[in-house]
Amino acid sequence: MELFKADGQNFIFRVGKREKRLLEEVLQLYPMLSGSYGEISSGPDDGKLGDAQKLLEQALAEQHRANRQELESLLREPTWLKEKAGMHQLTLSLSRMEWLLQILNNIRVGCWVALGAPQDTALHLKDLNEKTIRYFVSMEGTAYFQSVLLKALQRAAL
Amino acid sequence: MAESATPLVLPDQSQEQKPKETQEPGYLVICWNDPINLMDFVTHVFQTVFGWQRQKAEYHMLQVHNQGKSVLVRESFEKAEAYVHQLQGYTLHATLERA
Repeated sequence: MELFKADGQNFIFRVGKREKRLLEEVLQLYPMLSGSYGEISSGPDDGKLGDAQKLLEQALAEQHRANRQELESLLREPTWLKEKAGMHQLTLSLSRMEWLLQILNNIRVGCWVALGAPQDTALHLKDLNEKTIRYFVSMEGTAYFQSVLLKALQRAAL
Repeated sequence: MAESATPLVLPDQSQEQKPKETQEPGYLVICWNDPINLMDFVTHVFQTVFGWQRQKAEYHMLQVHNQGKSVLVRESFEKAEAYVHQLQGYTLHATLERA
């Protein structure tokens, strides 16, 4: 996947066939983390934190529901990864880029948690099995897509 | 934090934003290190959420990476809570603590 064109409003990426398949498979995993993943505080409760924790969980759960709906409609759009000259074209607005980065990171962190949250993310194949290899591939795949999006944003900011 | 190679220059400490003086001590928004979030992604999130220049965002990202955590801002409870919601929306490990 590489940035083909950017005009300040939209970013157009060229995506290979295998990359398209990987991206779509990875996106199907969203959300990998539930609303109860985040802790509002690791400090002592001063009376405000109990309600704040509930509010955070509700907000994240609602965000995940809304994002999932938006993701499903995005994947159904006829322009989504439209084929052109043997490649697929992905057109994203700036706000969609930001949104997609959030989606991808939820999947990446969720896959890492599903793998047991290892401190060393460079896992060895021998440590993986049929179930966990999907998470490992998705964790690495999301990092790849995130890096391409971040580079495109950095280029646009220059 | 997951490694990514980017040349970095630390900002002048004296240019760092001073904590706001408020009647109550307020709450600190803290970002904690983990081995999964990409360094460039964390920098990007700090820029987006706080509106910081890249240099300042990178300074705090490196503080998280090297020291295990970084105090990002000191704010009222409501504002700190809103920032934690935003940061956790990006799946960063962020919390608030009483200052």
